[in-house]
Amino acid sequence: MATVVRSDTDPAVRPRPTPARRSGVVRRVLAAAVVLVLLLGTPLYFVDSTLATLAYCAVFALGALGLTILTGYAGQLSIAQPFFIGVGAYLSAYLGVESGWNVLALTVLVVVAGGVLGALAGLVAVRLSGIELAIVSIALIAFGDYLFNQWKSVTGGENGRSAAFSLEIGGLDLAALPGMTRSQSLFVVCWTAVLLVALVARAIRRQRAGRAMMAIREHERAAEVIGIDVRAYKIGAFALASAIGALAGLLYAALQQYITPLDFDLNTAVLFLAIVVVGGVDRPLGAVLGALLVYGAVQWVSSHVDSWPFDALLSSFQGDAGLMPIGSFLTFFTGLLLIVVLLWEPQGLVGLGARAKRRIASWDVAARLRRDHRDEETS
Amino acid sequence: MTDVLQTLVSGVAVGGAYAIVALGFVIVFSATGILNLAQGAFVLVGAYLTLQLGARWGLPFGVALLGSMVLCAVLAVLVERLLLRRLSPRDHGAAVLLTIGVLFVSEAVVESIWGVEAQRLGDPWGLDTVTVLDVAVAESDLWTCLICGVLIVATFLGLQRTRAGLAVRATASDQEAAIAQGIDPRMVMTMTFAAAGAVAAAAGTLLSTGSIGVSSALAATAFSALPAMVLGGTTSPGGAVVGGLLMGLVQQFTALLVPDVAPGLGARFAGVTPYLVLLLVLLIRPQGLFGRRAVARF
Amino acid sequence: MSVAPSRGKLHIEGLTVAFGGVKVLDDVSLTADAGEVLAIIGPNGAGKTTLFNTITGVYAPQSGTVAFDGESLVGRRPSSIVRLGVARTFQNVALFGSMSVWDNLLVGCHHRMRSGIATSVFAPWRATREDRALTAELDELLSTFGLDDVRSSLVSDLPHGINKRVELVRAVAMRPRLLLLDEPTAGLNTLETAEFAEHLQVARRRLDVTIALIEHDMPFVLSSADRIHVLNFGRTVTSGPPAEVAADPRVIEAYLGTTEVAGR
Repeated sequence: MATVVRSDTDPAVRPRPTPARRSGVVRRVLAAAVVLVLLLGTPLYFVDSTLATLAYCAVFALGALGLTILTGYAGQLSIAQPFFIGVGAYLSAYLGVESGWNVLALTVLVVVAGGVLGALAGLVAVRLSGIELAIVSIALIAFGDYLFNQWKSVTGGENGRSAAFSLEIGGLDLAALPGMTRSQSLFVVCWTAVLLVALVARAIRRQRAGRAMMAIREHERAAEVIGIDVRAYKIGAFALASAIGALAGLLYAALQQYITPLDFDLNTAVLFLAIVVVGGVDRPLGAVLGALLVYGAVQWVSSHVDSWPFDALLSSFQGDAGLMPIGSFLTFFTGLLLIVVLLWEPQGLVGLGARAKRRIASWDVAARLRRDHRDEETS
Repeated sequence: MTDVLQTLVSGVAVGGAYAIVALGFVIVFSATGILNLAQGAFVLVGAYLTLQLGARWGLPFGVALLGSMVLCAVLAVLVERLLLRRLSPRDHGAAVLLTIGVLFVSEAVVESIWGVEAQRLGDPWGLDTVTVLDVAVAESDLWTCLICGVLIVATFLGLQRTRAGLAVRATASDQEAAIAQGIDPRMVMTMTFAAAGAVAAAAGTLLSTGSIGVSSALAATAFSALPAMVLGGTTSPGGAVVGGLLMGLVQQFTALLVPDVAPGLGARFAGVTPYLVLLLVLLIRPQGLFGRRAVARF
Repeated sequence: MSVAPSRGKLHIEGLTVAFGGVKVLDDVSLTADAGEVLAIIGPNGAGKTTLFNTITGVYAPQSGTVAFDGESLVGRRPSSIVRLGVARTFQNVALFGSMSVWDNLLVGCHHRMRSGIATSVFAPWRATREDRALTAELDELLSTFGLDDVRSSLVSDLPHGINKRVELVRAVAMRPRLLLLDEPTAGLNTLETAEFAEHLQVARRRLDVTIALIEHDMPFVLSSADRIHVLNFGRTVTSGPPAEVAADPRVIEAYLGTTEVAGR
């Protein structure tokens, strides 16, 4: 029996032929309501430290959304997202703190800069095969590491620099929204950004641009033959992903208020890989779930390092009892996640969800076949 | 003049190590299509195993090195058999990600067992120097050149003269045709991983001799060999060797010249030069120095 | 380069395509008039697929001209050639296996739409409108060609015969003026081939299109083609109406190697 897929664009498709089926509009209103409740209700319910962690999850989700577009849709495997995040972070930290640029101008600048750099990277990438691209992206991380350490006047070098720029636009301070603490405000700001970008990513997926990218991912030559300008779409995917990354960088700097080159190194790149592998790389929801789960888990361990079982397993300093130095734990955890998830469900949580849906759809088909068969026998 | 000769020798030494790591990358990639980033793990583990066998358990250095090479070959085969085999053979993206996972887990395990600080490897030549043409040259560099040279020659002989090597070359050239000839692609995969693991162990060990010592930063050094692989055209072993030597020389000479010529670039610049060279070459000649763009018949 | 400006006419003259010294096509000239079905036949390795690849811009010729509708195609990028109205199918069906039939058709209409990444970011409603505008047409295409049942099936799950038809319908959805079919009946049995021939006629009636097809199935060629052009070793052997060409001893020789029949 051929697999039945739910097409995002085919209006005639019904994934489950159940009679009591909500119409599309009601479902969408419901979804919007849920999202709104989560966005505005969460700050009221959780303590500041949890909200801070969740805000960082948002930043990682944002960076991962760039990868959803670049790798998930267009199939370009690049690990260099932290480079663009770093560019966004350092640009906003420097201009925001030293020259007092306001946050709106910084946002525009950072997005444009990220886009331009991404397009340049794309120009190079279009001539490269998959493996060459992966290696060039590693090179870009190495180069970023050098740049962020070396350009001391702007970045502060190894010791990093302050990123405590003001978040005021007009009279509104984004870090102090009316009636909210700093953590609450930043939670709302970051997750609003994620929401907007996720909606854009979803739109792309359902529309001509996304289809073109997915065609390129699957069969570049055939895509060319349909009339898709492969080069242009690859460059566009790079530009968009990098612009999103740069925006994530600005938010990261605003949250942490201090950035160092270690924030954008290979470990971070692999953390992003773990996020998209766990969550699923080809849907925006995967980026969000992955960030919440992976970054959330890492944060949870960090904050429980003094209690069981982690105080026994991890050693915080030379001579402390424990199997593994705490600094190595993140490395170990991300590596292990990659291995386990790739062996078990390479498409991540989203893939699990899709498999479950297909299972359910095939039950319906089986039930229908049985019913038809029964009808035949009695007629 | 002293500096130039010393740098030349150290350039060839580092380049030789890069070359054999790159060989490991190329052999696995050309036969299986997988970019095996776990190679960095084998480099790291190899160096530490030599440390353990030699400095900790007292075996002679040469024996420790050989023992480490054998153990790493076994480790590589385990990674291939237990982990990579479980993936779909055509899903190369997933394979790369999996090898990254192995790399990171290995790094953490190494740090857990042996600690984070750099340690002396315990090589017999240590900081000794030898006088060549009135210049004091580091003995470790000379030994590295020698051993890398031997391994490179051995690898090429293995590829060209043995049946196993023939099987690897056939699979690299056309997997379907090789299968039709009765060559088992999984056996080939195992052999290439074993070879990659062994040479990686040697490279890791040699890179840790002399003044540098062993530390988990070695894994990053393996990444520096990647440009050599692309420079050589990703599937050409000869290209990998030339690429590696070139990278090593560029890196060491840059380290020599930067403090006088362009001090603003900083001490870290030498480490980035392999990547800059890569970018430059790719912009001018996308197929690398030795690669050929395959014409895909459609 | 002056080419007789003829609407819908494919005009190739003196085309030579070489790969590293080997001439795969050697001084080939052919014409397909507007609305006509031209079959290109010849033994394997004769250069037929290379000819198609050159027309669609995948390969660059060493010398010669390729023009359609009076416009030269040489030196253009493949996507620009598609915009001139050229569509192509492949021997090994070039559909997107991970997408449904519907999505394959929709992505086939890529060059008829405008929305790009920027549209999806700044004015996504425009992109949705564009997609919706095609829904009725694609619905109709699916039912005309009998693909309703499989519209939501993954292409990689469908049998070869159905996929050949899907590829044809995707090409039809591109509203081509020149349709290149590369061994459209390869892998189809007699029944499927006859069905395909019918579908091809339906397509022909819908579109104002010139068709060039590469084929080995002689009965199909003889019944579907208006004219036949024969290639061997990259060179033209002959060309003309089906009956003539089928009887030409040079053609028989090209396929069988000799005109002598073994005595029985």
